Formats: sequence, C-alpha cells, structure tokens
Amino acid sequence: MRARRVALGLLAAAVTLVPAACNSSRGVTVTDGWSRPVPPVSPASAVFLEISNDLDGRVTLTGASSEACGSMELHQTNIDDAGVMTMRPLADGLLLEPGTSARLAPGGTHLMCLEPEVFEGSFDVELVLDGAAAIVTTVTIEDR
Amino acid sequence: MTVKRLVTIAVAVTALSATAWVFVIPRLRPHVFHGVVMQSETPAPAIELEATTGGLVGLDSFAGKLVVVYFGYTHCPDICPATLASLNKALDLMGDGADDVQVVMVTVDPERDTVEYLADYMAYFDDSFIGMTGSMEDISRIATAYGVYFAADEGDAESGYTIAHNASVMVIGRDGHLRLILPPDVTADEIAADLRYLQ
Ligand SMILES: [Cu+2]
Repeated sequence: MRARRVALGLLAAAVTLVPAACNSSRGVTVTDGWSRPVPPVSPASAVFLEISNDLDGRVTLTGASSEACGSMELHQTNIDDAGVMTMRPLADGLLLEPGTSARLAPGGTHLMCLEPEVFEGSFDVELVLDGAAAIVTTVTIEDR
Repeated sequence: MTVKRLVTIAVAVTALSATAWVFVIPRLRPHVFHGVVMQSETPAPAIELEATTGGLVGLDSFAGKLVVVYFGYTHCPDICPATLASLNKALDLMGDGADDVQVVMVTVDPERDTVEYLADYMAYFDDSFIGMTGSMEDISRIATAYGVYFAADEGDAESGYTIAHNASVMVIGRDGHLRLILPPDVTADEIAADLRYLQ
C-alpha cells in the first residue's frame, strides 16, 4: 500500500519533470559569454557570446542592457583584405532562423558596452529578443 | 649477428635523422615572416607627434630599436585592445630582447584621444608602450605616408562616430626602414618570432 503510494508519487513527479525538461531544450539559449579586458579608462568594451534558437519561429537579437555598461549596442566589425577595419551598428538586429545559432566573436558581431563600469570578474547582460523573452546571461572578463 | 648489426644501424640512422629534423633542419630553414616584408630603400616616413612620455617625440628618439607602430584609437573595443594585448604578450615572450623594442600607438582619433587619456590607456597594456597624438592634419599626413587609411564614420547618437582604420601593425627596423607589416589578427607568438628575427 505504502509502496504503491510512493510509486504513484514518483510517477507524478516524473510526469511534471518531463515537460520542464522539454521546455528548457526548446528555447533560445545563450552560452560562452565573455569580454576582453580593457583599460579602466576605456570608453567601450566588446561582449561576445553564442546564441542558439531552438524555437519553431524566428528570433531576432535586437539589443541588450547591463548594469555594468552605460548603454549597449549591437555592432558588426569588418576587416577587409587591405586590413581596413570598420564597425557599424546592426540596425535591424541579428536574425536567428529556427534551429540556427550565431557566435558573436572578435572581428565579427559584438555587443558594444559603452561606458563600461566593470573591468574584471564577470557581469550580467540582459539580451532583448524579438520573438522570445529576454534572457540574462553572465559575461566573464578574460583574455582569450 | 647480422640481424643485430642491422638493428644497430637502423637505430643509429633513426637517431641521426631525428637529430637532423629536430636541431639542424629548423636552423637551415629561412625565417618565414607572418606579415608582408617590406624592402624599402628610404627610411620610414617621419613621425613627430605629442607623446605620452611628454612633448614632441620623433622616430629618431628610438634609434637602434625596433619600432612597432600601430594606428588605432581607444574607442575601438574589439580589435585594438586585442592587438595591444598581443604586443604586450609578445614582449613578455622576448624577455630581455624586449628592451630593444618600442611599441607606439598613433591615435587616428585625436579629437577624443588626448595625451593624458592615451597615457592611462597605454599603460594598462605595458608601461613601455607610448601613445602619440597631434593635429588631425599631422596624423592624416603620417597615416597616408604609411599607407594607412582611416575615416570617421557616422555612428549613432549613443556611440558617436566610429572610425574605419587600417588595423595592421608596422615594424620599423633598427636601421629606421620599414621592414614588416603584420595583419591585425597576428598572434603574440608570431609577433615575437618576427621581432626576434629582425633584431
Ligand atoms: Cu562596437
């Protein structure tokens, strides 16, 4: 009798756990957030990360904010064959088709942290998404 | 007996060729630079600008040293700090050899990069690094002489303008002639290898 009750309890727990597990794997995930150390007088630093969209619909990263930055902007760096480097705001955001991921990396896309206030350790960044709820991720300051 | 002798010979040959591969051949191989080698007949274009070490400083103050010149700016968050960090690591790798290397960053953003500001910025990477600034006219003239293109871009209200610039690293030899142009993504090991070879 008692064993049966325990078994039922376990079953109930398993049933409630399954959807939770499904939800966490079908969403937008952000991993590997990092930022290069810059001098404390720097007016800007760059945040890099990996973002994947496992939803059925499109998701667009439109911006971000952090208590560690005066403001944040999504930027694109380009280096052409002549070595000329340019950086421009990504006005339309970064589009992620369903089932795709993108890596924000040096020489490519970054989240520009303007007026940074944290220069070592880590800080949290909230990513603003169109098509999904905002996500908070931790960014580690490290020399890579 | 014969088998034993054959084995001995085989071992000796293997040891010899291994020695050759490890010690001799790398020395015979010419140094392969990690950037574009320049063979300039004339001295590198003059640079005389206001330096973080105080006053107007010219290239002649670094005579006898390798001078690494980088055109960058402090509002550059992505490539510039990475290059300066790599240069610092390269000097660490060179040990005492680093004493004969002078790293100079010429700002392409003189409006925002004042000499005081550059001093704080450069010291973070390495105490020996020098920052240089001046009038837009002087900097444009020097950059053009080095084949470095730069132009202010329209930024948006928050970030202000950003600057398109050639992020290559120039190396001036001890003789004062431009010797090497390294690409922006060069690693510390590669920089150190090339600088050691040029010393
Ligand atoms: Cu940026």
